[in-house]
Amino acid sequence: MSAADTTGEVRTTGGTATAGAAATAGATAAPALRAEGLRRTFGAFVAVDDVAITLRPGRVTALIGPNGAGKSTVINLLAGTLIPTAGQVRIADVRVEGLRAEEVALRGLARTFQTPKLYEGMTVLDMVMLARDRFGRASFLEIALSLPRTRRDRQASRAAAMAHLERVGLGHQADRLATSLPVGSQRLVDVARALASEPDVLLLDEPAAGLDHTETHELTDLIRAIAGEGLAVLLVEHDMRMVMSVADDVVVLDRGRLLAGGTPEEVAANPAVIEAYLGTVAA
Amino acid sequence: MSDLAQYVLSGLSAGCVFALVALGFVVVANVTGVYNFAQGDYVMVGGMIMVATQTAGWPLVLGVLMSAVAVALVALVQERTTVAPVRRRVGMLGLVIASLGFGIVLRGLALLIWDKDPLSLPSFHDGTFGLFGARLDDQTWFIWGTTLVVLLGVVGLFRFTITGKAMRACASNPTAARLLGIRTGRMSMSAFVLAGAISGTLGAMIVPVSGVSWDSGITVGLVGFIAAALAGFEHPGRAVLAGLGLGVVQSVGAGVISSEYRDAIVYMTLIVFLLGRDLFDADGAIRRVIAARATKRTRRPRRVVSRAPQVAVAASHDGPRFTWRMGVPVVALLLLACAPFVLESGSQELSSATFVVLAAIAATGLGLVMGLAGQFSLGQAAFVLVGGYTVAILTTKHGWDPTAALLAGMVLSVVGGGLIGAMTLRLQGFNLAIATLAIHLTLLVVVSQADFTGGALGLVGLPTLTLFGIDLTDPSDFYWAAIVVLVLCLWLARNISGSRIGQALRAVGQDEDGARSMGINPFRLKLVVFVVSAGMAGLAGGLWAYSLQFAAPANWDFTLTISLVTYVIVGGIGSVYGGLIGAVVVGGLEYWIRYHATSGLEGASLQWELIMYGLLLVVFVLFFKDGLARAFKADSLSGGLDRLRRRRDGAGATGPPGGDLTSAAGTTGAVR
Repeated sequence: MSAADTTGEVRTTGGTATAGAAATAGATAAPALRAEGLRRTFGAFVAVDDVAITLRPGRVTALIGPNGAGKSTVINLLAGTLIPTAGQVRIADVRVEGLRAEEVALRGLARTFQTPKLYEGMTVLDMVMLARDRFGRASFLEIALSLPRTRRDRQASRAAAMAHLERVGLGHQADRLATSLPVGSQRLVDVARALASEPDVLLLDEPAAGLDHTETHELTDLIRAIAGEGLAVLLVEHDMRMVMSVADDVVVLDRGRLLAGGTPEEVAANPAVIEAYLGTVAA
Repeated sequence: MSDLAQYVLSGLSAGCVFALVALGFVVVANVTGVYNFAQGDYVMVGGMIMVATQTAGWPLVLGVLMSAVAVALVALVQERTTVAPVRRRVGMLGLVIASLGFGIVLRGLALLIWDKDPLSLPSFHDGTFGLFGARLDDQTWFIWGTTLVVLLGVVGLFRFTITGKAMRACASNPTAARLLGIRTGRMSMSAFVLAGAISGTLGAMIVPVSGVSWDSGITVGLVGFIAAALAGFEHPGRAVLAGLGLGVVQSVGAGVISSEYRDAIVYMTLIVFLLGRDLFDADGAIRRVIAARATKRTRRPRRVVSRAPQVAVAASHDGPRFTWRMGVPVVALLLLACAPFVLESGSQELSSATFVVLAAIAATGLGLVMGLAGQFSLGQAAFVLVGGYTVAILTTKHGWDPTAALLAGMVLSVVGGGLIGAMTLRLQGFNLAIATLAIHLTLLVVVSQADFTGGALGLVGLPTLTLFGIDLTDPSDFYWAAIVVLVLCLWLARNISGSRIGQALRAVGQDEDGARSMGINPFRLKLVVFVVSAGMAGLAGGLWAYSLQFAAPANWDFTLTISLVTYVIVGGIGSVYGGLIGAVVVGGLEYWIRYHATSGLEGASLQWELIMYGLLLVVFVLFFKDGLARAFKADSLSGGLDRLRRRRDGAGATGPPGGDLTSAAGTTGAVR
């Protein structure tokens, strides 16, 4: 088993590289997102150092690690919210590091946030429609003059947003103010919003936090279905049961560096991982 | 060489004034989060009191002390009356307006008590001294000394004392500060008292150098604001540095380049600085270099075609649904259009009404910038000025057709708006406010100096307006034309506000990172809105020039900006009709005060006009916190419980559950 045809391909400089592969379909597809040598410092503090992650279409890669391991920083680096101090990020073989978040988003990356972004005074549907903004065909002049295309845009946007809401099971809540929903539903709105932009790469930042048992199950099914459509999914999650059931590959981050990588089974059996992270959580 | 030293060192003295005013801004903003625009007027009051004590024969030290104490008291009054009662209930902009109002009241009172002639005093210590070949008045020592002592004191207070840290905690998180047992109210009072004492002392010190008159606080306050804004209202040291820098640039510019344009030089330097800061800002520079490298290899694949199968869209009712509430602006506009039937053609009242309508046009644009783009612009009047002067120059000097000149004025404003916006809208904070303010002040200097604008007297002899062949010589006809333009602008504003652009900008205003992650480009959208706003202002300015039939600097000076900002805030930020409502109510009262309320009072009426207008601003902000637009809305009149329920359940409660989506999604944007 060579490192080249693995997914969730992992390298570290320290020689602690552990690579694993699941021989499922899609493992050899061209990567949708590939990051290499990612490093980000805040002053003297090195938050992320020499991290490499590859996301392939149709596969779910879980990124786990103890609190403060740098998971959110990695997501922010991939999504363009933060600029890497060093390293490269490619989406479909195009370099995107250093681009602004909106430019990265337009190249096919969508993300959710650890704390769902909610907008005061907007309904659930309004929020999902925001993600359809990019598909608007009407020019600014047409919008200002309220020409017919503006209306067609809005109807198309509404229909698509509605479809994505139905998909996460929130169709009946479309008219509610997003701020009035329970936290679990708010996370699902965030997922619907990310999906509505029709991304190739989807980064989910702790989507199951605040969800109950049934909801987590539904979310797991949803994530599998999303991946089944050919999206490359990165999942940051603390719920190990969920990670084990949904992920094709697992990448473990500890103190800003890659600790291990491989199939869920391999990672769960890795002593270094157990010591750093699982040992304190899993029975 | 000695010339240069002379310029630099005397510039340093002027800079000390800006620096200490900036320091006052920083102290108050750091503790209370309020941008106190009365700061400049504190300096004026301090100077006045110093003159009064010296005229009464008090010793110097006592005079300075008295100035400090008196202005500290004035500041305390301001805090107790306009800040403390509304803390956490009125937004930052409302407090800005209240402070502007308080400053105007101070100006009016000063005019009332001390009259309008400038006053001065001899130096505290006669004589001069030499330094690097420059000769300076001994008074310079007092000013430099005061600045140094105050700066060290403030830095020491904030950095090393528990009180100072507690004070700063109040601004960053008042609730947490209260939980820790810090009395936020007392801290806020201390901040105002401290800022007042600083400005009072400063005012006393500079009387021998620059004199004092009722309006001498305006420029000082504006430049001080700029210096404080450059320091982000956060770092006392940087604010002082910025103030000193502005003073030196002004002085050197005046000596080396041109004394008429000395203020313009300061403002242009500032703009260059802002531009440079944007380019070389640490994060910005890195991003740009990397992005340039990355994009070289790629086109911009802005994928605009959804690959989802086209869902058949039910032919549902789309867009805002008619509610009686939407009739309110229509009725208001119809009433407004009836003015010429009531007011005599050619009367003062009708021309006042015309100006209200023109101001409403400019304010509608500004409302988009402030409400939708979430940017604080302090230069809307600059675009009005551009429109007005373009029309005046093209018609009187080049014989242009009036309609063509009007359109040219609008185009020029749009281009100017695009340039300024492109320079400043990328960064957050006050950059747009500083840049637009600087541009406006520069333009004011230029038009009152240059020949082609007719200098301080301006350009006269404009033709009457013939718009697309329709003769608008009669004031009533002109008024109706202005109403038509206003309606067009409101319609544009409403379309934009209710569109995906409006929704996207609202999202940007609440959480920029979240909006960006959806592919929304905040810069582009803000720029578009800013350009539209500039166009509206330019159009209003052109019409204004035709209405007055002359163009002069005083028509469109900084007071107009204040008025426009006030209209938007009082009318209601976030409502398309805010600018209109504010202009009619506040602007109407403004003209009523100017021509009626003060006519019965003895002597010059300016002081009463100032006092009443200032109080008006304060009262409106204190009593209509969310703006009049909201106060007019039906749902704020219905029962509290009802409102609470509706707010909790959102728009869904108004329709069958899960049924009609369109009404909710369509109206949230449009009628807010």
